[in-house]
Order: sequence, then structure tokens, then C-alpha cells
Amino acid sequence: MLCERCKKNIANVHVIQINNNEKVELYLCEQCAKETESIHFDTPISFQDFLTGFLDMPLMGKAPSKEYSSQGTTLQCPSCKMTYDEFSKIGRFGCAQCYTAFSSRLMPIIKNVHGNNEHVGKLPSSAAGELKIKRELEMLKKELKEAIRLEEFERAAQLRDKIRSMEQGGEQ
Amino acid sequence: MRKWYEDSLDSDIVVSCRIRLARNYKKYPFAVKLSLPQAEKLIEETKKVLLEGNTILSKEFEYISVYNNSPVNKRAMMESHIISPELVRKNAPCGVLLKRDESISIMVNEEDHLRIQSMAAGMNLDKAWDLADKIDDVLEESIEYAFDETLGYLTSCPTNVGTGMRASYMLHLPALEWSGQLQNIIQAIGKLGFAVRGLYGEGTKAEGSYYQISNQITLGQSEKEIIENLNTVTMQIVEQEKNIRENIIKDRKMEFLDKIYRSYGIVKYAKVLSTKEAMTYLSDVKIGYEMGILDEPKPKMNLYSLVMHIQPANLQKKMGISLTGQEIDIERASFIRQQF
Repeated sequence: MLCERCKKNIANVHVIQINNNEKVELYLCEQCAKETESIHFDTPISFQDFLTGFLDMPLMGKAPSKEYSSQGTTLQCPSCKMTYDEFSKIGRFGCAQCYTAFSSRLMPIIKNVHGNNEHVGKLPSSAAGELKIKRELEMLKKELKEAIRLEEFERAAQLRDKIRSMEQGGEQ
Repeated sequence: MRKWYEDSLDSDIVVSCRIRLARNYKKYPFAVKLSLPQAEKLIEETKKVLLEGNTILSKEFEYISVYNNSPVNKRAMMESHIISPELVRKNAPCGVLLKRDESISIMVNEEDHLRIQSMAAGMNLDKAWDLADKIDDVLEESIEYAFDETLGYLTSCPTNVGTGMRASYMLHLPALEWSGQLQNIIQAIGKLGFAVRGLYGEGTKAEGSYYQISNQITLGQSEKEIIENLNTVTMQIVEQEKNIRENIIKDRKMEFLDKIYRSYGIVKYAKVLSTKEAMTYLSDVKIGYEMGILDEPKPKMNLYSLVMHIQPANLQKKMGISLTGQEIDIERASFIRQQF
């Protein structure tokens, strides 16, 4: 395939740009790809935009899930009506519910991008309550293991009691 | 009022730092599905929370519409890092709540409903995080965020989900750039989940040897961990930059001194300077001060502030008239001369 810009050299760079939410794909030679770099300011190729490449791919090494193949491309968010296809083109969700609606396809991708799929950072106080207790318990259990490993049994006993009282408090 | 970047020191390789938190209202669809009336309503609601609340914050912030503003004003705000290039391009109701010293800006209706941005001079991410965190707490008292127990803060793009936080340092790395070793560093830290970008963020060039280093991973690490990791990576990069500088002094001292002093001569006396030229010479002058080898008085304004002031839109805004290409370059040279 020849470069779409100079039409002389062999195209060996695949450029995907998102302009105003529309995906533009270009096959360029190395020279032209370098020269077009200067236009990046107006049409930046971002980390996010590379993501859309990820989203198009079938899950690596796995056959498409039944849910997906039976519904074809109609996986759709019930709240904002965005389809998975639409999402994979622009790399942006339509609303918070999209995360749930696309969950089956999304979770492996999120894991690929972040290497993880569980939030351990700040919690809004509205969501706090139980979640904060759960998080604190996990931390205490980790500390307990560490204390046992270091043979600090007095501290371990204190931690164990604290964990016990917290767990009982949760049940009541 | 004194602006945050006026505290930047010409002797520092780490010029500034920034925390950005992406937050979304639970009740509104995200940007791509947000109708114009909804976008306007969201702005009004956010303004109310911050400006009409009975807090000290209400007096410290003002709202500036970006959507209804002139192209020069929009660009000038971007040049000062108050808003992102994406907000400049946005063709829908959007704006920014700005703290008067410009250290905190909250972009409304960018890619996410709210982008809380906190900036500080030097290597001060803890301080920047502290401020952003507090503003976030205040907003959260009145706004119900889109949040998921497992995934954390839900964002328009899955690359920001979790903490919604991007922490970054702005570094001045001319020696690494000259030596060609920066490419290796970019690749190496990329594997660790960090990215290197130009002066104005995503997709921009690194003019004046300024580089932004930021985290890519937002899920599975706490805010503190992300900051600590970024601090470690940044200190290593600074160390490498210093090593190369020492080698330059060892091997090619006179050549290097000559380069620095020539650049100093140009910024002090030139009559016409393009942005790119000015950025290059000011970068040479900055490394001269950083290494203590330029024995000349420092400019009236620190060099990082100067870099922002000499960008095209900021210059035009200062002059109050629209200028053509060469007129801008003449004004730029004149403005820089006055500083030295």
C-alpha cells in the first residue's frame, strides 16, 4: 500500500486521529508521518486516541463472549442510548451508566490499560460509610499479616481485636 | 494580585507542578451526550455551588465563559495553562472558575463535566494535591458525583477512571534534549506508566526544552502512591539532566559558555524575535542561571513567567490591539529587552 499523502513511498505508519469526535485513519510513509507531526497541535493524537485502537480489537486470545455475539453490535446503554460501536469509535462514554452497560467488554480493556481494575484512592463522603469500613478492614488485615511476619505478636493481638470488633460492629 | 507562577525560581530544573482531577455529575450525561441546555444548566449549577456558597472560596473565585470569549482571550488563557487546548477548541457552552492568583482553575464542560486543576511552583505536588483535594471536598458537599465502588470516579474516557487524577511536573531539560538521551527516558518511563509531553500538554511540542511528565495510570493506585511514584521518577530524570550538564562543563566548557552568553546577548538586545527563537534563547539563559555559570543580573520577571507572557495571544492581549506577525515579533523583542 502506498502512502496516502505522497503516494510514492510504501505506507508503514498507521495514524488514527480523532477530529471533533470523528475517527480519521491515515496510512503514511515514515517521512510523511514525521512531517505531519507539526499539525498535532490542532489535531493531537493522544494517549486516549490510541485507546480507540484497543477498543476495536477482539479480546485477545478469547472468542467474543456469547452475550456479544448473540447481540451483535447492538450492545447499548439503556440510559443514554450509546452503542458499544459508537463508544469504540470515539473512545468516550455517553454517561455513567455506560460503564455498567458495556461492562462485559470493557473490564478486560480497563485491566489492559491500567493493569488493574479496582479503585483504591479517594472516596467521596457520600459513598463512604460501608465502603470506608471495608477499605479500613482490608488495610488492618494487611497490617496484621505483616505484624505476624515480623513476629510482633503484641501488635498482632491488638490488630486482631480491632478487626474483630469492627466486623462485629458491621453485623449489628 | 500575585500569581502562583511568580514564585518560580530561575535556578530550578523542576519549574512547576500540577494536579488535575476529573469529576462528573451523576445526574447529567457525559460531554458527548450532553445537550446545549443541559450544558448551560450544568454551568449555572456549578457556579452557584462555588460562587454563591457561604465559604471563603466564593470571594476567591470568578467565572469566565470560554465559549463566549474572543479567540485571543481563549488562547491567552491556554498559554497561561488556565485552560486546556481542548477547551479552546470546544464548540459548546463551557467555561472556567478561576482563583484570583490563577493557582486553581475548574474547567466546566471540558471532556469531563469538571476538571479541577491546581498548580504550584517548583517540586510541590503535595501542596497542589492538598488544594485540589480541598476544592473537591467543597464541591462534593453539593454535587453528587458519578462514582462506582469498584471503578472509582467515572470519567468520560476510561483512561481517567479511578482517581480521575493526572499529576504532572514541568521540567526544563535542555541537556537531555541536546544529548539525544531524552528519547530513551521517554521510552523507559513509558513502560512504568508515565508519559512525557510538550509545554502545552497532549500533542504539543516541547518548546524551550520544557517537558511535562505525568502519570497515565489512574486505577489501582491511590493519589498518594501516584504522587510518590511521580516524585521518584522526576528526581531520577533531574539527576540524569544534572549528570549530562556536568559532562558538558567537563568536556566543552568554553563552547557551552559561549552559547549561553550569545543567547543572553540576543535576548538583551534583539529587535525582532519569533516565539520559537525567544523560547530557545531564553532556555539557554535559564540553564545558564540554573548552573550558576551566567554571571549577569536576573530578569525582572522569572523566566517561566516570561515564557508565558511572550506567547502570541498573551502579547496581543497586553498590547490591547491586534498585531500582524512581524509586529508581534517586534513587541516580543521589546518586552523581553525590558526584562533584562
